[in-house]
Amino acid sequence: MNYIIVSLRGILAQTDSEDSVCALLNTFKCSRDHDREHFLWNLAIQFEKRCMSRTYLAVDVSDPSHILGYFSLGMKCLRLREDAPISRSMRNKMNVDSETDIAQSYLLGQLGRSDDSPKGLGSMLLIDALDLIRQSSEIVGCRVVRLDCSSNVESYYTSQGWKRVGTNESRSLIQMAIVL
Amino acid sequence: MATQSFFEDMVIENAEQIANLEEAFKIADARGPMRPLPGAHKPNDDPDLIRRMFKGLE
Repeated sequence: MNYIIVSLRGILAQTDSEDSVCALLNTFKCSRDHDREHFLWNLAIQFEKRCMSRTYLAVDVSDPSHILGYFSLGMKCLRLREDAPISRSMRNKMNVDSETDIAQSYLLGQLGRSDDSPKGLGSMLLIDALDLIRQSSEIVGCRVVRLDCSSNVESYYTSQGWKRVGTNESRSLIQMAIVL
Repeated sequence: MATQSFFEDMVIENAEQIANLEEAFKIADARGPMRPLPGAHKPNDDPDLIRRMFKGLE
């Protein structure tokens, strides 16, 4: 599949006008899921500046102004309830802090493809995202990667090797994990 | 995937969730360290490419 991955960080560093970057991001259309549009249009730059996430755009090789898809990566806490029945060995594997009951995990926070992108791009972007996380893990450690998704795509992520862990607190999203 | 996930931790509270995580670790331990994924694209922040991204918007 013919696309190039460009980091939003790199784009912002090489552009004087943030408005131009906004205009570029606003060309991304995903009518299947407006949360994908909302994030890229309204939050991706802000999160980038706050170092809350890193966003990577997949652009068309022949027309790089055409955003075919994107993904956003971050870090989040994995919190153990005080009375969670977990073994010592599992606590060690997850690097749970004994005082706070908190471990770290990578977060695949967004992944989406545009309405006019070729089918199969989502799977390719999932590989690109995991490979970047794998490289981060080699540098700084941490083995758990998490994503939250709606129930209608759970079987897709299961087929890609992800494991359902539970749901978020409001039970609106399935929380899945893969271990590096 | 959801924007909401950037604002929520994963909270592990029951035996079922722990068993699921243990299973994920078991699979990974049996597989061994993840190797570079074949076909993965590396980020390319080439200045000329980024210039072309904005040219297409004009």
